[in-house]
Amino acid sequence: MKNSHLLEEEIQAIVFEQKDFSGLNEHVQYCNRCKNSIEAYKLMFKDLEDFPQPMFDFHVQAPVKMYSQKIIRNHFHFPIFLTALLGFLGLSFGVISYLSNNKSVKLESTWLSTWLVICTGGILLTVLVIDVVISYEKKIKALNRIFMQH
Amino acid sequence: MEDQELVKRLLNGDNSAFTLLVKNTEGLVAQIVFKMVDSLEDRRDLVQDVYLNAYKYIRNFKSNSKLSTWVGSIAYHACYNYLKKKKLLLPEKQLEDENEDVLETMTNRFIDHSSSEIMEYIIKKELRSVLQIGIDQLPPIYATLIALYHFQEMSYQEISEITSLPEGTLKNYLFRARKKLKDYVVLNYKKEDL
Repeated sequence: MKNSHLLEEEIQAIVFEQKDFSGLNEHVQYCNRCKNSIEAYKLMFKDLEDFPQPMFDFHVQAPVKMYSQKIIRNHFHFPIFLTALLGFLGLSFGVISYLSNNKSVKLESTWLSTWLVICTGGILLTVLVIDVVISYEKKIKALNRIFMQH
Repeated sequence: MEDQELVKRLLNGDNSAFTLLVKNTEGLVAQIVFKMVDSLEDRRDLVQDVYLNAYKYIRNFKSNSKLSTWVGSIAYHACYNYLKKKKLLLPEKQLEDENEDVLETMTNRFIDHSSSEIMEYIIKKELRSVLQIGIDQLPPIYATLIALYHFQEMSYQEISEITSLPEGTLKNYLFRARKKLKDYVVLNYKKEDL
């Protein structure tokens, strides 16, 4: 049997480690100080699982929902598709006009090329503005939905 | 549902699987975040970041640990970095080291007082409130370890995976945390009556 008082480490080991400490336990039976120390730990840590669980008072998934919607939307991005299409058509037109060497396709008149640039720019700008407006409305709707759910 | 199946569904873009993941891990994440971060606003930002990162990097999840442990680890490290950035890491909200004799006397009184059966309900309630304040007084990492081990009933190995602390260090921190907590409780529990 241990004659000196138990160390704090030994007291905690008896309470929390649930191993066989027969030598120490024998001391505890005769020592009020160590016994009380053990009881204090037991009393404090008893039924701790009944403690109220902290809870979040906000919607933890909101950014994830927005992020996942963005990913879905990015799968087919209409303005990028349109830009690529117009670029491809413009490039094809240029290549054909170069290869045909002023035979069938002529771009001599400058008013045609000017209007081509203006129209293409106009269309691209319109599409981009529409896309910005649509994505803004979608985000607002998504946020509203999330807050309504919450 | 098995973690593997949940991850598979998440990778296939099933958002209901993510709701399930949040439901399964919210308690653990709350324990960590509430113990480590005091500011309500920062808690909100951190938790939302935690779940956003879990969603983005779910393909990095290794099946040799539990999904809840993995999410817990993201939460712990987010809070740890937050504390580090704010220079709040291990602030010694010092529970002064009391004289051993004083502690012994107070422990004896604490035990004598608590043994009254009539007062059991009130005592339990009061003890809880002192214990709760005591936990809040602990440095954030100690409070988190107490919460994970005693409230969430996690094993040393699981806590070690979450915190990346070696088991020896973890046991040492837990020992110190419990000691500080016990000293606080015996000194403050029904102090005015003792």
